[in-house]
Amino acid sequence: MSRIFFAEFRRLFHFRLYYIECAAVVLFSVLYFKPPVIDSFLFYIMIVIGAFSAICVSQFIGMEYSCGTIRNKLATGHTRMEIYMAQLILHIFAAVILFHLSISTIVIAGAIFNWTYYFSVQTLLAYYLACMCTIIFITAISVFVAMQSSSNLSSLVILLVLYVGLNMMGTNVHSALREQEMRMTDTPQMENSLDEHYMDARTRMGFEYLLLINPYGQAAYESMPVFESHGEYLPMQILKNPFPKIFLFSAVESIGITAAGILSFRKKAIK
Amino acid sequence: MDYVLTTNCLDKRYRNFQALNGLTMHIPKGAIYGFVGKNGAGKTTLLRLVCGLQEPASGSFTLYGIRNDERDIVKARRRIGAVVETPSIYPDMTAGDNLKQQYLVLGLPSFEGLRDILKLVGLGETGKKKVKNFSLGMRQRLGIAIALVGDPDFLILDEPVNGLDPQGIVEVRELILRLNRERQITVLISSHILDELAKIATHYGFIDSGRILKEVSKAELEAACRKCIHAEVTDTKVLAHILHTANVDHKILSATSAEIYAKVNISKLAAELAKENCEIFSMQEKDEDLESYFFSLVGGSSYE
Repeated sequence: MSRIFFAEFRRLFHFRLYYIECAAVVLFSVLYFKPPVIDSFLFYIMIVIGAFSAICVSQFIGMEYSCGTIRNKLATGHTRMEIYMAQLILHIFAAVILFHLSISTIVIAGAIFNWTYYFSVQTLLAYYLACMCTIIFITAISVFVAMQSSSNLSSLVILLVLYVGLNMMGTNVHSALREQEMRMTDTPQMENSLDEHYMDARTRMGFEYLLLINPYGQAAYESMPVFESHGEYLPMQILKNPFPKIFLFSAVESIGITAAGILSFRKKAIK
Repeated sequence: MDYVLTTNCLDKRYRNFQALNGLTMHIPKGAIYGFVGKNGAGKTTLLRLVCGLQEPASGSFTLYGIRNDERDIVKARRRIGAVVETPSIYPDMTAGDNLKQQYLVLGLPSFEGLRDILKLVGLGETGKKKVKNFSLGMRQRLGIAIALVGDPDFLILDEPVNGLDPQGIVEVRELILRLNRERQITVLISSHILDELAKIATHYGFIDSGRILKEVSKAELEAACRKCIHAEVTDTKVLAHILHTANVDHKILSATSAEIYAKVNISKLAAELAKENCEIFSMQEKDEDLESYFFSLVGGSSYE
């Protein structure tokens, strides 16, 4: 597997689109980072990396099919599992580089423009780990789709639609979970009344699991400027749990998606 | 005889189309094996199965003595180089970069020999020219160059001269001959350009509707295609005696038919046969080439 990984690694550094993505991430980071909240920005950049992962992975792997170069690997005795895993590791690596490029950019920009940051080291570390899990989750999905579909365009469209869907799902579920039980009625006495949108305990549990199985949607929600709208710092809800299940869920899902991808790729007829 | 590849009753089906139908073939070591068949006969399907791009529905093949269902088949595949359908190359890279990519895929410790391979296929002077700017012939040769990385013992080429201009065809032909002679590489070439194949192949396999109709060596094919007179007579014993006496090369095919492999005076022969009460039904000059031999096997007069 290492042989294919190094070969593909070399190809990544000949891949112009990846350099364009790197430049775009730097630009995004400078333009969209609003000091002092660094935590939610980490998740904001996750949304960008999700979209970039869809573009890069679909084009990079799609090229293997359209140019037929995947045949060079199979015909010279590499197993399909080796090829799949090498692609997965490479694209996780590529996404991690993009992520760190973004962090480096805001650190450098902060030094230049004399920004001040608001963060707690513990939360930032937890958020960083959550971002890493999300990167693995996103890349596992991207590689799964790109390896099954032989067309650059179709895998790009599928991935973008999928990420928009996950993003919307995460945001909506999160909003529903944060609905207040009581709300102030618009009467002269300003009485409190029950909110009819407030969900019962069982639905709440279901929604919480929906949130857990969707790290990308979680990231999308957390990227919202919570600090600015509420005037207070709200750490990621899921991290408040005694054991942050988001890590476990994204790890299990990534492994599951990859195992399904390898099984399916093994049966795929290569043209 | 040592065989590089043998197949045993290979079957492959694509939905309603039976691509391979119990295909059994044998490729001897050191041969240039011409794989001849119509479009859709199953040539490329077989190559795909051997290269591991697809799995057979049933049957098996043995590559360097290792069956396709054994784990070690991946090791056997490391000894092959293949160009299946179109050359597998990255268009945004140079010829050298494409080769380096394959060196890394094979895990070779250095890029030693890279220039030699490029020179061998006539691409030594392409420099920084991107592959997307190459001609079809150059791409085809680069595809072969990539297949040659790692010194394979067995080269699989699918329609290597398709779309090439006459000069390109000659270049690819000479390259294949050189590889076979100088490096003792066994070559499997699928093609339907029969004239071209006839110039290089040492063995032939004729395929139709997913099964091998016949496998012959070049010598056997030449014997079968030899220019001759096909004679139909009442008694070939009499004919054989006359021809033997006249020291004329011939072959008795049955009690009534024979082939004569020399120029004979037909009137004189007819007169001598008449003396022995042997009648002539017909005499036809037969001059087969690979193409007519193929059609006589397939039973058609033309193909796509």
